[in-house]
Amino acid sequence: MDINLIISNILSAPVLFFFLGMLAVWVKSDLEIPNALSKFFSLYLLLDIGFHGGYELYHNGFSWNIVAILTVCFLMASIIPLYSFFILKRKFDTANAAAIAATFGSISAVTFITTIAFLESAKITYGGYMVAGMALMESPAIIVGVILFQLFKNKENNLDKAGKNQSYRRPKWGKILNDAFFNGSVLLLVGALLIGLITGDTGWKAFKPFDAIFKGILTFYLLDNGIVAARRLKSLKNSAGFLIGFGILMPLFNALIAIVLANHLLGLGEGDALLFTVLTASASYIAVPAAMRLAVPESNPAFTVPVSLGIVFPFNIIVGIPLYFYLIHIL
Amino acid sequence: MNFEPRKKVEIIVEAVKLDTLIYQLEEIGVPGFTVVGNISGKGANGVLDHNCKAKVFENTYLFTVCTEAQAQQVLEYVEEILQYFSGACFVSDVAALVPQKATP
Repeated sequence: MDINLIISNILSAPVLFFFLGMLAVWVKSDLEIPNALSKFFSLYLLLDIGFHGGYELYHNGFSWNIVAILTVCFLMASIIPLYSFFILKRKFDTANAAAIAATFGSISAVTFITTIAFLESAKITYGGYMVAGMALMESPAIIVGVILFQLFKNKENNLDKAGKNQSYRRPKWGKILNDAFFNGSVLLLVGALLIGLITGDTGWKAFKPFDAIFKGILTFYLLDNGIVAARRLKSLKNSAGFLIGFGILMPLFNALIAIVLANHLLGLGEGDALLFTVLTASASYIAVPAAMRLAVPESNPAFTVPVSLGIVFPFNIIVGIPLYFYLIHIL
Repeated sequence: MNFEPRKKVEIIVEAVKLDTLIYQLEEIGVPGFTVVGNISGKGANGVLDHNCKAKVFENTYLFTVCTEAQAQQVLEYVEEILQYFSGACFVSDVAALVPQKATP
């Protein structure tokens, strides 16, 4: 394997700042990014990536091939939680297995955005429609996770036995679907994509100065993510060994499936194949844990967030991206 | 000055549950409530850190001043929530100032 690829990725500014954030927690520094600023960075990154994707779509157009790719994206996001659930069920109760499985079925937008920065540094092109793929992959896992919980939940539950609180415990599908498909991230991403598509060259020309600071904002955001990831990692106490193993092996397994699909079924170029692979290998640490906490209150976010933010996210941005890129060329 | 006896219900609850709590308060018909978001602290469920990106580790403080009957309904609902979500609830007797309406 080309070790230079991993080294150059680790030595890129965004990843180094991620390490700096982690270091800040380990040495008990008071370094902190204000909460509102951190939220602004994430909104900026989603808006920028969505707008850019829409602009690319404006130039390259839509085809049946793109529809097929987006369908596979949607299917992968629905299938990953299924097999993840049965593996997790060996160690966790139904609620936590469903919540962690949903986390793995969904995606991490920042991992996707870091991959775009990796591709742009290597001057590798990618299709704007992959942004639509990302938006499509955010939500199905929530629905699958809730269905899995409902199907497998323990019928012996004391509250059920007593016949109390049934209405409280029944899933509120309207709220779940609304959270899944209209949460802020998905709405902004899809909205920016459509606006980029509608405004075309004129819109992009006006937006370009805003896009020029993309890498700087990403770097700042990863510094903040490093701080938060290190804090969450410290809270990973129960089942830490299993979750660390699962948090590394499951993304690798998902990535291998994605690479085979990208190379042998979809015929994607190397840029799109890498983005598709990273989407399937990443795990959500914002939208899905919150949605699953509401839909399945018995699940414990002390499992979902540390594994997705403290293990899967660092693994993907440090080792995963260059490793998947290498595997795309040999498989 | 004119005071009326009221119940003050103070609720600390996970931020993800705030929307449904507010919906329920409006259904009960409390005259109003105040929300303080993004709070940190430590309770039986460990440290809650408002700086984590995931909303699941964020707490919210809400208080409402209402009649005894309304407070009873609020407490019943909050008791139900706190079976699954971390948080706390306190109730106290307060005197609410009823301002004299200005005459034109």
